[in-house]
Amino acid sequence: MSLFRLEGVARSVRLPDDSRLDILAGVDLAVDAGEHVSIVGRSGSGKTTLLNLLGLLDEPTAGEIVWDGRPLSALSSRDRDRARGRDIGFVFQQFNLLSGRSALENTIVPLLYAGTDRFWKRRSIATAMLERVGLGERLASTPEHLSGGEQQRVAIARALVRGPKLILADEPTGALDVETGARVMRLLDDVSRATGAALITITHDPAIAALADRCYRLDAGRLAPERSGAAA
Amino acid sequence: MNRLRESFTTVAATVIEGWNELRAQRTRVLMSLIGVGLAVAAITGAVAAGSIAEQSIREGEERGSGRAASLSVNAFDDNGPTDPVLLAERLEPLVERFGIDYHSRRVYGEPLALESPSGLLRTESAAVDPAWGAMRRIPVEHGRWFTERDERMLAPAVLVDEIAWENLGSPALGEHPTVRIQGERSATAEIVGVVASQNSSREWSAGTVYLLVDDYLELAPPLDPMISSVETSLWVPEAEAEALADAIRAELRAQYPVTISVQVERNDPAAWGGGAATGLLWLQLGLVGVASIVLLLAALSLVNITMVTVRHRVREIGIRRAFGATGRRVFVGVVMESVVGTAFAGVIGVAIAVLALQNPWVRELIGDGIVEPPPFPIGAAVVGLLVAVGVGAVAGVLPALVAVRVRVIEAIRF
Repeated sequence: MSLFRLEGVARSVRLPDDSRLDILAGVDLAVDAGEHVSIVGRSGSGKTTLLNLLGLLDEPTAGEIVWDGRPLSALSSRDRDRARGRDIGFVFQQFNLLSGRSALENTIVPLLYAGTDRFWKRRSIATAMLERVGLGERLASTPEHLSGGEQQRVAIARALVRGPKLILADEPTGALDVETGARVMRLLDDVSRATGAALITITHDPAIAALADRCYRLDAGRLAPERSGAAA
Repeated sequence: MNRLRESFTTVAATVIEGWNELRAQRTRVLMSLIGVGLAVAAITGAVAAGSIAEQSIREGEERGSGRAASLSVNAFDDNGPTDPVLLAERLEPLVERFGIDYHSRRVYGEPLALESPSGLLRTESAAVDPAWGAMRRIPVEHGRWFTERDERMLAPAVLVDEIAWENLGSPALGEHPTVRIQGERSATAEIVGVVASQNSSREWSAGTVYLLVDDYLELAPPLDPMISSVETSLWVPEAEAEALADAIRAELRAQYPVTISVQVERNDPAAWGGGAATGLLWLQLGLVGVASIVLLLAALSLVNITMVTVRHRVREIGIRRAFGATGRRVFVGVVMESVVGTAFAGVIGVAIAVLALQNPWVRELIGDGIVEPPPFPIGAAVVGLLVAVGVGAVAGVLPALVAVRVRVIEAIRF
């Protein structure tokens, strides 16, 4: 069974002049547990909108998203919040770390909304995850004192700390130089494979996209297979 | 059990989240919390100072008229009070029979002359029985009050007030100082203690000397009803006061001829409604009113700052929601930030009030001459903390509603 399926998903917005702008149209996509999928596209092609839909942050205006066997339309707002916290980890282009909070405190954030056991063991779980991404020595450092690569590693640790089924990475190397970006991508790929989480990378960089098992291109709101990825 | 554990975890996580937020936003919220803390200190301090001042006023009143319930016993005919010695003799078996532990006479007699280094000192006299000290909360500053053993001593024991003590050269009590009293007869008395002066003017008074009634009667000229008067007081449990007064009155009336009127009446402040302490309530209410206005302004400032803080934290709220925070959790989290902040300010405010009221200068100012200083009233501290938490909750609701309306997608791109 797929981890999730998008069936004829469309997303449009109403503009101030009352006209309609179609951002996504007829998107079909199925991703299995542990798969690594990349989606490439130019700016304005609808990549971020698709990411928001996959991350249960937004709802389609047409079509259906089936998440873990259940249609999204059947989930309440609270159920979606909980499913997002439990099953999805985000890695953002601009890292989106909480300023003024240490690497450890940032990594702890998702555990504040986890169950009882993980809440009370939050420090040890977050510490282990930061050690796993090579930041065991930087636990107390705030984002202001970390390099871009280190900040993205903290973001990866935060995304993985609750053991999600799906990692959504939005331009994860967009704010990094080529060498650091390649190292971060390798880390993301390694850690997601080791934990069995599916990884969807949204990028405009063909080299990053090539690391995935399957690659799709998003063009004017339509999703089409680009080629078979690295596994092929 | 699991549900309970889960609920506890949620509460703990929300409080920790609130506290972490406060730490991160400390500069922004500090200024508004200073206002909350000071207002809580003012409210708590006003309530607590009120109870100390009330105790001070009550003690002052009790020194003058007796503690609850004090019965004053008098027997007089058309010419005035009858023989006080006879009254004491008739009262003695009744006091024994009714099990009254505290009873004393107080003779308002003639001045006594004390030999001092600077010459003869004409002091006021206060002749009492040993129980008088406890019955009227006489504050002993140095040494001790009379004991029953003093009644059996050959040399009279005396206490002097601070004015008389200074006039006598402030002799050290550890050296058992004596003073020569000149009266109808003269005697050398040992000064066993110094009491706080009831007379505020050193200019007009050479002080007061306290001595036991029997010693006074030995030294002073025979009591002249035109000059001297004798007050006989009983200190009894409040609940039994009325019944005891009726019984003692009836017994004494039976022993006197009908031409003599016997009065046994309560004369302590509690019997006539508490006196000056009730006036204090208005002062206390006024202080609490002013503090409440300060608190309201501080709360409005807190709402304002929290609103600004929430608007600055739109992206952060979006991130938290992306990682699983539900709308309810965000709402409670923002309210909790406010509550944790004001509770912290409240604790500081209560601590300021406690420290201020422990200050000897403040104690002296509001509780002058207090014998039994009341402990810091727990009720005042609880009121202060509840007010702080309540203000935090109310001030947090509006920003929390704004926080919940944040759209996650826009927030993350913010």
